[in-house]
Amino acid sequence: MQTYQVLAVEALADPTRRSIFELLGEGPSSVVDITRHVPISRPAVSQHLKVLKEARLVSVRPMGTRHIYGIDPTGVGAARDYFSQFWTSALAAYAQEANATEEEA
Amino acid sequence: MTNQIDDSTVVRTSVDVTVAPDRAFAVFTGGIDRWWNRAHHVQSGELKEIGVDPEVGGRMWEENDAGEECTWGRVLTWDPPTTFAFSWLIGPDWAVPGPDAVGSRVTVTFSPTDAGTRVTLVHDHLDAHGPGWESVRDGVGSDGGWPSGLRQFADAV
Repeated sequence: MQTYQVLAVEALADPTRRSIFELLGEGPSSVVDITRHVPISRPAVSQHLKVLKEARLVSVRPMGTRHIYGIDPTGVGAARDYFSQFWTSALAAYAQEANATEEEA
Repeated sequence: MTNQIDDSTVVRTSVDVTVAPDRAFAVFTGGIDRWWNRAHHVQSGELKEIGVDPEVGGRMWEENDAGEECTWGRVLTWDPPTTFAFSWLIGPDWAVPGPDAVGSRVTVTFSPTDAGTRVTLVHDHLDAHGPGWESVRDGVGSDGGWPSGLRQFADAV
């Protein structure tokens, strides 16, 4: 899980990949359709999709002769998990610090 | 410590500390640099310092080891020792927020208890971060939600 969280965050750090990911958030799409919406070549889109797929942010399924890309709930859940847990661990560290100041006082 | 998601755009978590609200408030705000995870920063390089300007409209800022400063939020409520709220301009990608960044909101309340203070943190309006969060939200309720974080905390106490 941790690996996918890191991969997901790194994958989304790229603005083009983020725009592709957001586009797929609106609905599944083929490489050709995605290419119409971003100012990069089809091979570049495919490369970005590969990274998103490795991070489990998108998944692909065949439809006839085409490949349809969509949001992969596995990686998406991992990304949400990452940001949700952020405050849990932050507050744990905060509590430790706050309690330590009592001992100093 | 409790943890729950009211709806898909809200994260709520709380923790009990053994100090009075005024100290709990002071450590959370003025002492943020002492407890903030050093790995969490938006600029390149190492995080040198993170701070809060103690007034409404004040900056939530960070400085990296190159001396560069970045504002990643603004103080919305400054009401010690009860309430502290700030905007959160960082998206799911942890990039430096642009000048027109739209933010979510973090509200921290400090309530006295018999043993000290209950600190409750609510991070809401998460949908303000745009389609990225909208998509990310779809994963809520599937595997890998809160429980692992709760276990992590339970192990730590």
